[in-house]
Amino acid sequence: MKIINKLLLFVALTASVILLSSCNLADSLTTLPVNIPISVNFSTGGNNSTVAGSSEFCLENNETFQKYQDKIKKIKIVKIAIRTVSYSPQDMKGDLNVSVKDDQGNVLFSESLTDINPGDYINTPFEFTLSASEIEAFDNYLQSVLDANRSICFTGSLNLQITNGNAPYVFNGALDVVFEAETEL
Amino acid sequence: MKKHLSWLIITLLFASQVNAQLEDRFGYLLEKDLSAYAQPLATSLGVAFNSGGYHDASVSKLFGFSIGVKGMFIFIPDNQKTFTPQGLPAGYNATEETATIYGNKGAAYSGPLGYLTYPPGLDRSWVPAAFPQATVSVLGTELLVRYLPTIKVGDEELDLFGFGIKHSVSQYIPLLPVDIAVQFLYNKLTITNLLDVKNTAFNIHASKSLGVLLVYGGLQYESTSVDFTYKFTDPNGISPGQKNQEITLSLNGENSFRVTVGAALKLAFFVLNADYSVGSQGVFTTGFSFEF
Repeated sequence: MKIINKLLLFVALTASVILLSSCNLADSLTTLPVNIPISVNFSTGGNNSTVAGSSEFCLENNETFQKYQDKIKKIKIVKIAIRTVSYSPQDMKGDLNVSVKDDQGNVLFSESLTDINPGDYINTPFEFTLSASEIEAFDNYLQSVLDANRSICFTGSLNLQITNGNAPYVFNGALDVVFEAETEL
Repeated sequence: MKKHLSWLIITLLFASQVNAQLEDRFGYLLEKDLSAYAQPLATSLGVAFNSGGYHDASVSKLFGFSIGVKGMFIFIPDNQKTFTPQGLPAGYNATEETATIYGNKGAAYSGPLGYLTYPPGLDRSWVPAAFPQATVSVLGTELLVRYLPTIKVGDEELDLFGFGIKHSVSQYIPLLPVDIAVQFLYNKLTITNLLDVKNTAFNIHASKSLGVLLVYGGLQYESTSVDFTYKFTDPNGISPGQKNQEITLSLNGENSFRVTVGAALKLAFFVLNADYSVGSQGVFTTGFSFEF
């Protein structure tokens, strides 16, 4: 009789675990974390030894964001990288500053790279390591804008102080950013 | 009502909002990467439907009948939660692994066209499954049937049908201390415009009755083929020419052989059983049936 009671208890526990895991699975089937990659292009150039450019970008312009816009519960930054599209002269070198501001002009991210060769970042973009405070700044802005139901827009800027090569200078680059949106299907 | 229906179907076939979930995730990938991404799911479907075929090798020589439910708990090994993409364009390197359907985060790879992102997984270490089945036995041969009436899943329809034939071998061998039987199983699950799963299995199993307790075990060869149909939505913009193209991908499950051990408790007309099968994905199966 003891064996029977133990077996019944075992089966009941197993059934409970299966039911609980089914509910847990139901949760994982109703949420979908979506990666949203965005690229912002910059065209800069001139005869001065400093070339600079900025560009505004909004998540609303991204097709993936549009698809899930009404279902997004949370959004956060995942990765950010700078990429060279084209440049001249070929022996150009310099110090690069990249920054991202929110729609109120607050700086969310600002990083500098010294003595870079732009050609190094054509096939292999430079991926920045986001600090905890940068992640927090991004995520706070993203959540506040999402809660206020406003457009999520940023201004990306780059500034290249050229230390090698002769004018005229051309530097076309791109800022690549990945956001992760938690959506509820 | 929809929620209840979803829960019911999850419990039955871990496939409620699977339709939308799979379409959204599959849409990122072309065949080469989808093969790796969806492979563990193909295996799980095979593991589920090839489970629960037996708990007793004794087959009635006159007439027998049973009806019940089989529930499964399929364990996903860690090495089936990630994969290395093979479909990245030139200039991209798979610097890290990305999630399969059962993994967690989808990776983002940096390269000359910007970031390319891969879909996330369901973040599962196990998946449940369950389905009803009934058997009728006559003259040492048993017919098993698994069936669900057509169920609407969103705009699609879900159908399940399966059968098995078991024959007692031990009836031909006098004084054998255990019962032995062989069994063939076939199952088919279809969710229109999403997946079509076909499973076959052949096993030999033995059981020994010890009062109300029955111990059993078996060896099983099995195969699973899954056709996934999905629309390539190309969120990364890597192949505009194929955007919105409907793709059908055929995959074979990695489940090919399993060893099962288990025990059943016979209480008058009711039988409770539990077993564990070792294979590509381990599966714990329980069953509750009314038998005579």
